[in-house]
Amino acid sequence: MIDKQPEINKSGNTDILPSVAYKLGARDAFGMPALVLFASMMGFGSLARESGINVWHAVVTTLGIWGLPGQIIMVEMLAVGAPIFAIALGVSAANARFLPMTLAITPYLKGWKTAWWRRMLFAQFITLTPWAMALQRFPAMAQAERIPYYTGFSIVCLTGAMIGTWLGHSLAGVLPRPLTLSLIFLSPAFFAMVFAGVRQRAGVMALACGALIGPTLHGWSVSWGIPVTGLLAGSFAFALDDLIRRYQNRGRP
Amino acid sequence: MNETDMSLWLVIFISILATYMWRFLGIVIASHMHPDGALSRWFACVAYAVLAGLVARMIILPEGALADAPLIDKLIALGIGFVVFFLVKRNTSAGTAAAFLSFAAITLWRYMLQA
Repeated sequence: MIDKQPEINKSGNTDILPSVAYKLGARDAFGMPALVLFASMMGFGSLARESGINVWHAVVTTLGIWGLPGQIIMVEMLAVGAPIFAIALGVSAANARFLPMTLAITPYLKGWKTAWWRRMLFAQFITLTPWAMALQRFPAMAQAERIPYYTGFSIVCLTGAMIGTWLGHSLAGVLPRPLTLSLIFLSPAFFAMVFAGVRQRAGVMALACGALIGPTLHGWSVSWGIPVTGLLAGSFAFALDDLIRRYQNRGRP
Repeated sequence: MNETDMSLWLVIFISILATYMWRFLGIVIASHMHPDGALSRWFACVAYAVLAGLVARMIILPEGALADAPLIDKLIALGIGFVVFFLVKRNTSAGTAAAFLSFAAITLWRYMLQA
């Protein structure tokens, strides 16, 4: 994919080549991120088997949906025999977060001149773990390094996730129940730690508001509680951050 | 391939489309978006709030795959995780490992009490 060296390293005095950025991404993923995805997809794999879907279904689901909450909803609704339309709606609502996530990360790729199908492919790889990592690392990175870094990071995560799905499916029923539960608990725990590392004021406020409103709105609508949470809590945090920003900048030209 | 198999593939295919739709929409809108700082900051806030809501729901509400685990177990494990996270200079891996191990230990302990 990387056929030539970057002409100019826009923002950087660090002259990192794409191939180096690619390896850096892969190395960053090769640790807790890939391990968490591996383990939580093991949880998904064994859940998938309990819902009566075979190992190929499960692995293709991981590759195609590439977002654990939506995948879990799909197999859970399959298990209770929900109609296909309801499943599609449930999965879609669970994954509506990909819209604001994509919108938040794409501006970092401004000036990314590439074929449309590569953009479409990049979109498929937007999921929580690499996204959160990218949001933290992209600002300090040169333009030419971002996509290679993201690609390297994603490939390691996806490989771990697919192996995890396969293994979880194979070991379903063999794994003791406490271990399965712990594997499923691993992913919210990891995300909680990732979010605890967010330092920007707006992000911290959005996270806090979302965590408060999310479970509350669940009683209102199981499917749409989360997207609406994002809209309400996110907008509130943004407005509050903007207000503080203006207050701090008052009197300045 | 039998009939159930086919209908399962159909469900998976439609679920994949229903998911990709959001990413596709994001890429299309973003490429038409003015390089406006405020707008993308707002989107980042919305995304963070969605994710926080999702994670909080996974942990707090007794539903889905984690329904069998009592709330107190999850909160204790997460609390230990956070303490370790901040003790080890905001180390995500250390915090996650601590939360995971605590949860596994508590769950195993409950399991053995039942058995």
